[in-house]
Amino acid sequence: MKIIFNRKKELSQTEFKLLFDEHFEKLRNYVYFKCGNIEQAEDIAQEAFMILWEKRADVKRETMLSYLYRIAHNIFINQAKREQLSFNFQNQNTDGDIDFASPEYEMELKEFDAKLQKALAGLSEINRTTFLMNRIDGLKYKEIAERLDISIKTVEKRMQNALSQLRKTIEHKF
Amino acid sequence: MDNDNFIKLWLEGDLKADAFEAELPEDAQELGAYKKIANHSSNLEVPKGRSKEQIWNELQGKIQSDVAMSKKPKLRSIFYYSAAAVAVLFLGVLIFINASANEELIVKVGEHKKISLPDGSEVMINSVSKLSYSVKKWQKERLVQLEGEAFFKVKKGSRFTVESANGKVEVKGTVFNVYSRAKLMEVKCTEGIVAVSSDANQTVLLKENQGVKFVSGKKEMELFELGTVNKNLWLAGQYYFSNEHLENVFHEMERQFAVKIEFADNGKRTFSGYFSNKNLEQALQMVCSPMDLKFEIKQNAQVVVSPNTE
Repeated sequence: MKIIFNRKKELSQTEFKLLFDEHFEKLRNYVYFKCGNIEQAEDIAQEAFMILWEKRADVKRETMLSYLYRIAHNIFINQAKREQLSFNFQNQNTDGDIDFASPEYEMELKEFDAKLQKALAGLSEINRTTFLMNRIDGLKYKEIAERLDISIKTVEKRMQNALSQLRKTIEHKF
Repeated sequence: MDNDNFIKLWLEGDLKADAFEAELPEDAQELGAYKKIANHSSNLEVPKGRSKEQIWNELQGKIQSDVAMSKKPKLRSIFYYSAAAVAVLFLGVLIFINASANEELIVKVGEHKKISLPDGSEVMINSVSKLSYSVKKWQKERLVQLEGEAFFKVKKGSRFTVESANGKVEVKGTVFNVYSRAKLMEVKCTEGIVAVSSDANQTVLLKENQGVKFVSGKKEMELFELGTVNKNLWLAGQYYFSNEHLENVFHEMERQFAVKIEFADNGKRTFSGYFSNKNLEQALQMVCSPMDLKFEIKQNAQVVVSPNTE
């Protein structure tokens, strides 16, 4: 979906709605990847959009998206309590043919997922966020780089760090 | 390829999972573990919270109450500046009015887009269509320009007008679909009453479950009742036709699948039936087999349809 906007004028309400429709869920997930609390993630993402709307006159269109992510990040930092993180991801469980899934196999899957979620919580915030933006939201490295205003190289680095750390944590606990 | 590079490309989706299996480098175990982690991670889902619509509505409420708040005058502090403030406000309004000209939405091949108009009316725009309206004049008249096809759910209120090259539609608050491509215009009313005027200055009133079809410049207007076939199933990705020229059926398919369909036809044959926008091959099958046609999907999104000679 490509919507052609008139770039000269300030963000209109319709454009704002379109922006919201397209990016709200991913922004919320981004915050969720940081804090592990869905209500908090929703509130922060909502507030970020609200701030964007208030500041719409000052924000350039080219940087609007990264601006949105930065506001969300800042709000999160301001209210973050350093608690033990825990995640509550649901699993769609599509690992191969469900027909052939034996109870043992399901058990193993569940166990693995529990370990994975724990290991995710143990990652550093930036590595986890980047990793899950790619894995869960399916964003390309380039898209992540754009949103977080970092280089693609940095994204690659974070992905690899996340993967190797996850693997270490999971295997040590076997 | 070394492991790092391999992981990088594979996570990006540039390498197929099969290639991953086939080319498993020496340290197979390590990569296997990575693959498992990566796969499991992408199967995770963020827990469900409030719906996006609910959050949007809350957001709207907040924005509006903020506007209301800032309008409450802090009398003392601004009293002496009121004249200046009024001047600035006036200037601001002028700039605002000048700045907000036309809002224009273009929906590309294979896509649908739902939008809300300033009065809360909703529009679902079909592929390869353009909708525009003037924000500036919206308060005075609810007027949108349409090229292509769109489904409207209009909030009750003053007159709402849809203009297109072939004719226009006027309503007060109702639900209807407008199709206007090339020379053909078709309007289907599913709720309330709509007035349809052609460019040949003919006007008809449509009641609930009625539709009208006409060709630009011609005086005849064909009225019809909406059966199930004529309900606006394109909203659900299903394209129904009753006695439609084959050419138009293939054009619709081109818009939905972003393909080019090559088809020689005398322009006389018509098709009744439907196709779904989920799968190109199935869609072609649905149209071609009852018409005794065969098709071939080529590279570069080209499709060639020809008579079945066997």
